[in-house]
Amino acid sequence: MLQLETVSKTYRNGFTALEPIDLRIEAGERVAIVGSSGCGKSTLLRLAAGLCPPSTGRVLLHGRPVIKPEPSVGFIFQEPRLMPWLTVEQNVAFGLRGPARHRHASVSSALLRVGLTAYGHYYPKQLSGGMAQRVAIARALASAPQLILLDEPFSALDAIKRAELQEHFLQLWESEQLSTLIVTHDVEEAIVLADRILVMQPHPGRITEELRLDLPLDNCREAPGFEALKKQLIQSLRPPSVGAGQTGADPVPFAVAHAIHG
Amino acid sequence: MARFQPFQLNPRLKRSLIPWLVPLLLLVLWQLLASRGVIPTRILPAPSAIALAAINMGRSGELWGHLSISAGRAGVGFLIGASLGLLFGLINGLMPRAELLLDSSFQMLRNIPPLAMIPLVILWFGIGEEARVFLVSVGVFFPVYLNTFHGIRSIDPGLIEMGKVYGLSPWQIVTNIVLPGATPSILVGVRFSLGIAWIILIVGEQIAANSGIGYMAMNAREFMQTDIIVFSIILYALLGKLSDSMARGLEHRLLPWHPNFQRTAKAVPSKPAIS
Ligand SMILES: Nc1ncnc2c1ncn2[C@@H]1O[C@H](COP(=O)(O)OP(=O)(O)O)[C@@H](O)[C@H]1O
Ligand SMILES: [Mg+2]
Repeated sequence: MLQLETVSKTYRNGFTALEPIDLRIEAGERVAIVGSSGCGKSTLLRLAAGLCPPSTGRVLLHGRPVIKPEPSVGFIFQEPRLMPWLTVEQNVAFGLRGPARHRHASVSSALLRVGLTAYGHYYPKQLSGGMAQRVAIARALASAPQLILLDEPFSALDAIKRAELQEHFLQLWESEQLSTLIVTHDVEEAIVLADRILVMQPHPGRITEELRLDLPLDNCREAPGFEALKKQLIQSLRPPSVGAGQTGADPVPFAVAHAIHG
Repeated sequence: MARFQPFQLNPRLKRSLIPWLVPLLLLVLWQLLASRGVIPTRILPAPSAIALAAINMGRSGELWGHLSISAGRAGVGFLIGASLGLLFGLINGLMPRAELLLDSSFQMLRNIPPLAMIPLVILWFGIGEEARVFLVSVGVFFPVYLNTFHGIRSIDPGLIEMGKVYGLSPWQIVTNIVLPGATPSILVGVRFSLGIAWIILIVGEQIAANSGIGYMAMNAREFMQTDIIVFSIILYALLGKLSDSMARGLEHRLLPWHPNFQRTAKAVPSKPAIS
């Protein structure tokens, strides 16, 4: 479905954010890219969405080159990015085309799916962070995309809200059979939301490892392999020079902090 | 069963009455002092005398003539200055090249107080209508220009990127995202500039005019009519307040989403957030 062929990005100031990357996402697949902040995750996603042109290589959607944002690709950002002057309903309808009746139906059904039907007339400033992010999800769903790109979508929320929304998103994914590409610095989030995880390293941004998961979909946090997988991923995220000699020697809490904020 | 409760006003009525308490007391005090001759009429006439002067001027029609002339000048000057301010604010806000070309010139002109131009303006236009309208326009231009420019430049780039995700054209991004996003700031400029328009008009009319409220006050000074002078000052205060209320009304109307103007309290979800 989505294909990146030796896509790289060097910004105008000469900074290479991304080395050539090859990536393929099949229909219905859920892929996560984990990497520390600044390793080029957002850059990769913006390239995939056609929001900025790659320096080399090309992005293909269904075999056709992507040069500008495609209607069949949804994007959910870290912040909800709702228009403050539009109500929840109008925000969800943002960017929808076609006859008013169809748009209205898409909006209602998207709001229903995220459980916000009662809040259609609220303004964004009246919503909590979690609700606002669900509006953003509804907005992405309303245009019935085949692929959703998510850029650290839940990282601005507290741990409880984050887990709730992740569960919610899983249910949505099961009912919609969407392809998703999510980038995150949160190893746990990657394991919960994806079947396939790519590990990214910074300076310059590149993919260093790939994992296929066979954890059960629901309640995967309690699955036997979860903790081991988490540890393994955290190890892979650490810079090679540190990780090489001392594997397993560092106490895990330090490793977690390092991986997340490093 | 409702009990009869004397002196129990409803809280909203109370809130709207209390601010008037101090002005009312001062007015009563003023009236007392003036009518007992403690304050000489030449210095400050009694409120009742001022009211009387106002009524007389209203009857003779003189008041309405001056009032409509002043309001007309303020209105025309405001319209010209605000339109130009909005236009250049939009142009420079949206086009960095235009900003490079024009903004530093505007910043230089901005530092000239419009009133400092009065001698020059009189030389240019004489003491005709153009002089006052010109001065008011200049004074109104800068607040509107600056706030429009600033409003456009401070739009969250994330919202613009959102628009691009949905394939909006540059023009659609301007009309759907940039303009609504800049409206609060533009209205701040409008409100501020209305105040400035009146200030400039007062001075302009006092120095170079033969009609208008400022002229009415200066003319009264020649004849030592302190009551009319004080009345003119009160008129300016009322007109300033009136135009400010109008600007606020516009804000309420155009910005129902803005937390500052929400009539209802912040809505708290009555349901659990996840349903
Ligand atoms: N427009 C830009 N111009 C120059 N450098 C940029 C630009 N955008 C991002 N970068 C740099 O590219 C690197 C990767 O950024 P980003 O993709 O946002 O990382 P992440 O999303 O993983 O935190 C960072 O070092 C950042 O400073
Ligand atoms: Mg990022």
